[in-house]
Amino acid sequence: MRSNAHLNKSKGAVVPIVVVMIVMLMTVSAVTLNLNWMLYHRINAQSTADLSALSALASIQTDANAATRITDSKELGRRLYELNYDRSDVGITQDEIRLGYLENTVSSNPSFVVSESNNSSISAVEVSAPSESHDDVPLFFGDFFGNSKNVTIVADSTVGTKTVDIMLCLDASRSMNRVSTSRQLPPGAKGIHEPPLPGSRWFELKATVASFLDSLRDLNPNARIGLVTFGGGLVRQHIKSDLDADWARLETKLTLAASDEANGINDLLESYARDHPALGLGTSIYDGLDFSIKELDNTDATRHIILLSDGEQVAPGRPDESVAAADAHAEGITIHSISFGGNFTALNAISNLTGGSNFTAFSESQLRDAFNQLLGSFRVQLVD
Amino acid sequence: MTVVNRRRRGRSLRKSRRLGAATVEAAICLPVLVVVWLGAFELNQLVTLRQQTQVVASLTADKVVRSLRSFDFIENEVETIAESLGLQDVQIEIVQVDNQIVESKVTIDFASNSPSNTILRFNEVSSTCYSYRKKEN
Repeated sequence: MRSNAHLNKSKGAVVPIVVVMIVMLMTVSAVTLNLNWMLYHRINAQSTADLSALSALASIQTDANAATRITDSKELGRRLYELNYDRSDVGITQDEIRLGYLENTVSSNPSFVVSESNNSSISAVEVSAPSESHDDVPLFFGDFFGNSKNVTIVADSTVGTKTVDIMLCLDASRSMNRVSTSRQLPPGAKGIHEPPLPGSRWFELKATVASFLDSLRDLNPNARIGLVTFGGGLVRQHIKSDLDADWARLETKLTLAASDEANGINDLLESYARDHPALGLGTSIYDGLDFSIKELDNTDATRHIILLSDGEQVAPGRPDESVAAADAHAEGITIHSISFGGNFTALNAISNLTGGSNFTAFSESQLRDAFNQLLGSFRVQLVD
Repeated sequence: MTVVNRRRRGRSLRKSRRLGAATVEAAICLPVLVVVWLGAFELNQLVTLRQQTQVVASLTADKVVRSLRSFDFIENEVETIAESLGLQDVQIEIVQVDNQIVESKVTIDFASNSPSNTILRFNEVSSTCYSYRKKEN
């Protein structure tokens, strides 16, 4: 009897240890799981806030309709906020999404804030849409931890945009009157006509630029665009007076792509087509780039120059175009070059130096392709 | 057999019985411990993988807003990124829901991405994020 009692007492020696181990194991597991769960909700809340702000801002930037884009974007941000939260199927408090830019900055004027610097060029436009989300996270084994049952997570996101400034730097020399090599010359035509004939390089360029402006307005109505020509006829009058600046001309200052002023670019190219004043006294790519760089100076935007020429520089006494390319490179300006009617190594070298793209076009369709490919570089830039 | 020897034998027998009892108890309790431990581990894996799919879904939705690329291109691009992060059998599906909203869904197979799936036997883990892209006409 004595022996059996001792044995019974010995039974269960492992059980208490195991019970203690299970409790410890579950405690450690619960803590680990809760930490992981909180981290998950932090990621969840942050991505919800980010995507709401990002999407709202992107929709503002791509919607050219100024009258509706503010309310529409706010509604979109809220809708995305709810969509992204609904999927997490835990007790989450949906809070008011705040689009600070929309409510505070432009309540009286639904357009972007544009300020002008002293040299009359428009400075960069920045917008931000901060949003904030609150998230009460229920924890596993919450009751076990008493007061630590709920943890509040706050996520906020601020997204801004960077303006894109584009200068069209177009060759308006006499050779642009030449009928494109992709076309049959009209009867009696011998290459260059003044004013240019339909089917000439200038006509093809004019149509392509008009199409490009339409696409740019749709893609990024807040991009700004300007126009510089080099080798044009008005240049000729002044070349004789040795005015350096007249090798090129600032035709259109940087202006919002969606504005009426931007249509002036089309009108100007059209007027050139009606009465092309070029007389082929020179093609100074250097001056065209120099004018473009000066117009792009002092802006915080992402800056691009689209350089189009149907030949290499012919400008006695003028600096080499590589000098202007080096200046652009130093300023952080990207030059994209389009060789129209030939493959010009000097243009390729310019774009290579500044990190731009280079294209060769022999026809209007190839020219359109080049401009269409460039569009990707000009879309809204969203910065965190 | 002397009295002393009889006592020694008795102690040895009791000791061996105690050991036997402990072994039996341990044999019963150990599986319970292993099941609890594995269950907690797999649950933790589930939350970890959910985090990772959430990050990938968020990245996908972000690219939908920022990039001009096609949905197919973005799917392939993000799949490559996800696999470089160690996720296996990643499926990414991007769908234009309406004129403005795009759904980005990321699904991974639990068994392929967890060292253990014997207790809770999860099938797959998925996360969905919504973002903006204007529908092309």
